Amino acid sequence: MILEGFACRYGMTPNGKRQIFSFHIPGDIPDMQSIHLSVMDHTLGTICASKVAFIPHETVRALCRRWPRIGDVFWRDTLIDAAVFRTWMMGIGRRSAFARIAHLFCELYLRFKAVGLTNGAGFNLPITQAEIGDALGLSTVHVNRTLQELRGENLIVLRGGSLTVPDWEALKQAGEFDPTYLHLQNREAGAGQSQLTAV
Amino acid sequence: MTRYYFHLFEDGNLDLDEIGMLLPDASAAHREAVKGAQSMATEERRCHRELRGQSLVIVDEHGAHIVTVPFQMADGRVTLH
Repeated sequence: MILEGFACRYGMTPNGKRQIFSFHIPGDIPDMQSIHLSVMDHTLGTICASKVAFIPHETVRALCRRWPRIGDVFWRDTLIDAAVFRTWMMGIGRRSAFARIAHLFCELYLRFKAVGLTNGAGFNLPITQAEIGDALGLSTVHVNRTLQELRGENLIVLRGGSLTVPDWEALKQAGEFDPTYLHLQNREAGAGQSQLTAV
Repeated sequence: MTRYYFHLFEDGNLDLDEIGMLLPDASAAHREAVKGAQSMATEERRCHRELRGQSLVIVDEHGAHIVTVPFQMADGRVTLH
C-alpha cells in the first residue's frame, strides 16, 4: 500500500523502452493485481521518495475468506483498475496528445481529491515530462510542447512541482473526460442493493 | 546537465519553449528532438492533417542554436502496401 509518495505500474520492451500502465497515489494497493497469481507479469516502482507498507498476500487472502465484504471491496478495487486500463487504452489509441494529457490530469486530480490530497484546485504532482510520455506513448519533447499548449489555453498552471486546474469544466472538455470509469460515486460495494432493500 | 529548449516553428511562427529539458549534452538534445518530431508528425497524421513545413528548433540555455529538425525528415511513414 502506498502511504506517501507516488508509484507506477510499468513494463519494458526488449530494447529498454518503458510503458507505464497506471499511476498510484497514497491509499492505493497496486499489487492487488497479483493477489491470486503466482508470478507477476509487470513491475511496480516508485517515482519519488515514497513510504509504502507491505502486506503478505496470504494475510490478504485469509482476510478475504474471513470477511467476505472486505473481499468484495478488494475485488471492486481491481475491477476499477481494469476500467482505468481500458480508459488509458482508449486514450493511447484514439485521442490526440492534447486530450491524452488533459485526460490524465483530470484523472489524477479526481483521484487525489478523493483521498483528500488536493489543496483547493491544486495538488502536488511529482512526475516528469518523460514519465508522462512513457504513460501516454508520447516523446518527451511532444509532452513538453503539449504542456505549453495546455498552459497557453489556461487549462493548467504548473508551479514548483504542483499542478493547479483553474477551470475544471474546460479541462474536462479538453480531455474528453467522463469520470464514470473511476466509480467514485456510490463507493460502498453493494450500496445500490442496500438502498433497494430499504425501500 | 544543460537545459535545452525545443522551440516549434509552425505556420510561419516560432512558438517558444518556456520549460526546456535538462539533458547531458547537445547530441542527447538532438536525439530527443528527432523523437519529438517523429511523435508530433505522427500526431498530425492521426488528426488527418498534412505536414506543412513544421520543425523543432533546438537552442541551449545561452541561446546558441544546436540543430533544427524538420518534421518531414523525422516522419517515418510506414505503409502496408
